[in-house]
Amino acid sequence: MSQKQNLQQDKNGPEYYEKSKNMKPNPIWKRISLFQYPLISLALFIFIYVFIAFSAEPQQSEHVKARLISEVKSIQPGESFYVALWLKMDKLWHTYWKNPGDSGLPTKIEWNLPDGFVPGVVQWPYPKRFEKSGLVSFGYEGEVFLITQIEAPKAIKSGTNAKLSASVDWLVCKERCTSGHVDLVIKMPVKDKNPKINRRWASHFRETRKKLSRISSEWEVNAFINKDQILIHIDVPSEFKGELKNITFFPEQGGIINYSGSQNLKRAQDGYILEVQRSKLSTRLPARLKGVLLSPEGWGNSREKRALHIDVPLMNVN
Amino acid sequence: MKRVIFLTLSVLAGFFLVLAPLARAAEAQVDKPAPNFTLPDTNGKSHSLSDYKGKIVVLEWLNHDCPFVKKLYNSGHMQKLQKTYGKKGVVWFSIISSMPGKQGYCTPEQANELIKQKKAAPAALLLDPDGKVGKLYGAKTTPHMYIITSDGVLVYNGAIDDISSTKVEDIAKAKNYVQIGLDEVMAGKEVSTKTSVPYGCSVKYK
Repeated sequence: MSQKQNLQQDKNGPEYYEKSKNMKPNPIWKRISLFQYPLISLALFIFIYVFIAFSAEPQQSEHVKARLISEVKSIQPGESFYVALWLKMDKLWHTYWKNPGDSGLPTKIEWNLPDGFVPGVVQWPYPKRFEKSGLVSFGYEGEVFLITQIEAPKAIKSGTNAKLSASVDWLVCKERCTSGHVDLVIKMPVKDKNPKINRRWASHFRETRKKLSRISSEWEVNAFINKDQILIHIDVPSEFKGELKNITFFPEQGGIINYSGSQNLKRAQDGYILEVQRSKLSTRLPARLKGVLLSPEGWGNSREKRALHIDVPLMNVN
Repeated sequence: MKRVIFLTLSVLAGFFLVLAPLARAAEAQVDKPAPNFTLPDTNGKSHSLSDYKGKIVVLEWLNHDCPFVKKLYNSGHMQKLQKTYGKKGVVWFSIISSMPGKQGYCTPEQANELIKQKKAAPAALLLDPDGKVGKLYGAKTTPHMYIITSDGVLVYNGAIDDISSTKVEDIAKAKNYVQIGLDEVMAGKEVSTKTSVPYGCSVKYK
């Protein structure tokens, strides 16, 4: 709170490079008598042991709380596991998707892992569309879980600890924007057995995975481009009995579509055509169209599969 | 099957080729005359683009509290461009289109104070609190840059450079489109990159 007030008073201050401060320990030791020391240190030790193993303390930066959370409680040599960057934004503030839209910047995670550990790419849940004065951006408000798969080497020894560090940068905006940076660490024990699930966060992992876009072998998608539009042709599989409604395309690549333009879904012979306006600023056209097709009603017979991942050739029909 | 899709698409494409341009607002477009505007500067003096025929003009959308803008001003990079090209006769206008109460909005006095503090060197800082000129040019972000030739033709519309970031160390690695565009215009050459996708904070329109 005090940090916020300071920044509002001094808008030109160097907030932009400021690293978040570590939480200072309460000087409780000044207020307790000597014989309580062993008890307290024991409690503290247990607390640290139980807690630090699966999730690092959250770091507070301006308008964003950040923390690394492991899906499992220990690392098994040679196996991969998932770690999420949890970002909790202040009310009405948002961070950005991999393509931020007309403005903004995607959150960036740089891993610093022990020898032999290999991080995968960030698995981005589909974003929310924010529109203000005709400018559109894609991102997340409330909270977001950015999951990364990490492969552990075979050579690590059971009984040791692995320290996973990430240097994280983001831009957070409400009406104004500010950039944030934190260095996060999570320590995990290495154990030669199947790891236990970190139950406290299991539902976050589960819910986030429902928002990841997936490639489907049932839905055939073709993309065409003309002078003004991108036409995404969606073939409906015979098993699908529903009707497509309110389909939105979120392009992964910047500068291809006009984000504020309307997207119209029309019926065609074997399915649908989603008409998307081209960006007037696009210069080179990509050979492929990549992104997410979002169907609020779901792509299958369940609402859980809402985000269809597409990566298809973009054919010029000029 | 493919033929049917193609036919359908061609018909649709033709249909929209005719209709889509009608729906578009009159916005600044490269290789077309830059739309004229008149705005007051921070000292109350009024500037019209048409007054500067015969000179190369740069438009820079500005919001001093935006992290992307801070990158360019805290490093001194933007001021250096303003000075370098100012000396070569380029008229550099910084424009603030933030509405009152929003990030980046300045009264004329505050704006003058900022110019002094940042040692900025635009020909003038223009104030556009109702966002009319910003919208006329389709300015999306801060920064968002435009180059207008001495004949009044818009030849660049886009980002300052090709690395979207708020980190000072990226400036040196980036390809600066404005610098390249200005050098090309001054050498009488065709601008090699006329459009790019601007990056930054959204312009804080009402």
